[in-house]
Amino acid sequence: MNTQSSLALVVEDEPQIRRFVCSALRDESCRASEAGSVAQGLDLAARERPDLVVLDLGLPDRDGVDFIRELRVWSGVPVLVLSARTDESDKIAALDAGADDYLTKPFGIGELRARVRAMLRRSQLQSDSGAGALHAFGDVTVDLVRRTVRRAGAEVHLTPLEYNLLVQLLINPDRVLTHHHLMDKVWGPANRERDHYLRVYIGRLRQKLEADPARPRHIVTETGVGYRFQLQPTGR
Amino acid sequence: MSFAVTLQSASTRRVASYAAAVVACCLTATGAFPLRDHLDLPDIVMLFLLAVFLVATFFGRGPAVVASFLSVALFDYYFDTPHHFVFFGDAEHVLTFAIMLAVGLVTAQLVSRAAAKTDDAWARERETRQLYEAARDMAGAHDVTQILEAAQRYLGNRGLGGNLLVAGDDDRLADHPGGHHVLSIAESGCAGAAYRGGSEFVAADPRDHAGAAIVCFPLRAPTRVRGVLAVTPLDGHTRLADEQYEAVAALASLAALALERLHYAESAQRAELMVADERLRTSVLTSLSHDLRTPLTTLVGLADTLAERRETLPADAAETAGIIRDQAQAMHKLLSDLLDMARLKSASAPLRRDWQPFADVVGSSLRLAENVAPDRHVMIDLAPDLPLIFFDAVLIERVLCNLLDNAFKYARPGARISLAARQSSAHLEVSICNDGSEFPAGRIDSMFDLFVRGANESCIPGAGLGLAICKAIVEAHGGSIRAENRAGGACVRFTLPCLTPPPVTIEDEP
Repeated sequence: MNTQSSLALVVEDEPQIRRFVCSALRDESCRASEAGSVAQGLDLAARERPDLVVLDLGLPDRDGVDFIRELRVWSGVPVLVLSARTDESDKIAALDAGADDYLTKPFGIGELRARVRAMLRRSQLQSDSGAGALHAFGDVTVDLVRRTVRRAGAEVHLTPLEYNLLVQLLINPDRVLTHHHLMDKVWGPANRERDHYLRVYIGRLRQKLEADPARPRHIVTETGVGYRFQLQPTGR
Repeated sequence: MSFAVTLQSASTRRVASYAAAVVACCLTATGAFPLRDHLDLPDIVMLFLLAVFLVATFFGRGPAVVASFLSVALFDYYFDTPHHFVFFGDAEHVLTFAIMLAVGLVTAQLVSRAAAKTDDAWARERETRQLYEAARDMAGAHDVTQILEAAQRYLGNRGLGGNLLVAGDDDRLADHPGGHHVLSIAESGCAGAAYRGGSEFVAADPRDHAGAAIVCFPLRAPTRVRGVLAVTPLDGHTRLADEQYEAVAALASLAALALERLHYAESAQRAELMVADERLRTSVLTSLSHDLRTPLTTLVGLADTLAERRETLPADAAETAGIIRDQAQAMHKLLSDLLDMARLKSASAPLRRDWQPFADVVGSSLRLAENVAPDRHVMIDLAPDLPLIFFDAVLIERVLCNLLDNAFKYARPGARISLAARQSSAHLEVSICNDGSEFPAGRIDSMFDLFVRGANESCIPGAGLGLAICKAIVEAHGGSIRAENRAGGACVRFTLPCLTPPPVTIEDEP
């Protein structure tokens, strides 16, 4: 994978945190430019067109969520949010505004690098003519054209809703999808309040597609926030 | 009305008014005498009639009758020619006298009726003003004492004494300390009956020690009966006059409204105070959390950056960096525990409950726990037909992680650790057990208290917050948690209530 020329923008008001975040980005062969406020960050994002944005939510001039909203008007660049807030509603607000992933402070460098790698890989995939019709994870292959799902070669039967949900996960790999987002996409905005359906269907997908449904490796729960589809599982 | 007039005795006033009648007639005769050659007789009769009318207007019936007689006599003697006294001598004078008498009597009657009406209106006006003043005082009252004072002022004006009994939220009537006297048993009985009963008033029976009647008026406000107004006559009277009842009932309804207003003002103030208190607490916790996490983030990040450069650093420097990182992480865990505990202890800690399968939170908890301790493996035993449970996933994940973490910490390496969940009647029962280590006997019940730790020695990291947080979370969900030893191991079991889940219809398989 060629990330030699990738440029990351770090928007964070704490210089010491900026320092090690930039250092970790350089270890992932990224160039890093730094901003300490929302205004400066938007300015740099417009001028330098970064491939990735690492954004702190608590900035001195404005809320980080505002940054995401304004950025999303004209750019689809992946955004990784750093949040010192433990309240899930802040993360949900950032994700619903268009952020792709989040890390809760304090975080390890390994974790940060893994997230950055996944995001760069994804933006690479999207710029290279999309992901195509064939998807594979674990021992499962999905053909979006024929609408078939196979596990270890044998066809798996999914209901239309299960299939739609799986497609939403597949086309957004390594991205945190909030309950609201998935409900809107699969059941429609009118059914937002019935999000227990989502949780039940995720359980059914895990039963059908995960090797150990009790310890899902691909369809991962982000507790209190939503779900993440992990193409290449980390950990064991 | 002048003060001097009221000091005169009634008889003096009566004599004075008869004298005034005589004087008025004499003055009329004296005034008219020089004019008798210029005026016709009927005109002079009119002057005397005017005098009789005025006397009747100002002095009443008796003087008017005297004035009538005197007027006819004077007229007859001085004006009617020839000048001699032939009282009632001819029919003409009889008629004059009759008219004068009639005018005098009718006028006196009309005037006395008007005066009675005026007095009545005055009394009513005074009553209204007093009631209005009581209403105004009560509307501005800041506490029960001021309401009582306003009521007592009003009652005092009518020769009554009063005592206010305010009902608490527990329906107990409290004798207000500012009251005229301490309630006797009879009074308390009467007040209780008025408070509970629906009637307009209740009179005490038997009466109090002085023999005076006590009448208790319930203070009926729109939402509930707020208390009782106990009224006794003062100044040696033994019972309330009939017309007093209506007035006191009006006062009672004013007092009821004032008490109700006071009650709501107080609860609003209390609620406002509580909200402000809670807001302060939350904002302190939030800023504390942010301000402490930022340096910890820097510490963890920088130390981790160093530790990641294993190849380029001397071995012991990289190891030191790793230790700094781990200690900073441990400090963060402690900080989170303390902040969470503070948040959970606050009255309004919100639960974000959703309907969800329990397996979901088990999966995410295992991921977190097993990431921390990669050498441990947990046996999962979830009943296959568990219903949807209504819980806050973030908090229950915290419970499971804390319990798994404990099980890892206190169990021998390689010991079996299991997590099981099953439904038992109206509860989901979750148990996390390990083989090998037991809770210290005799201290099992205190395991869930703050800062209590299983092992006396601090060779195992932790501050004794974990189980206390678990307990707070489980109890906030309406469940219970307990620890127990079983053959060769320790278990923590907790329950979550199984409520009626919303329906889920799954489409048919294709």
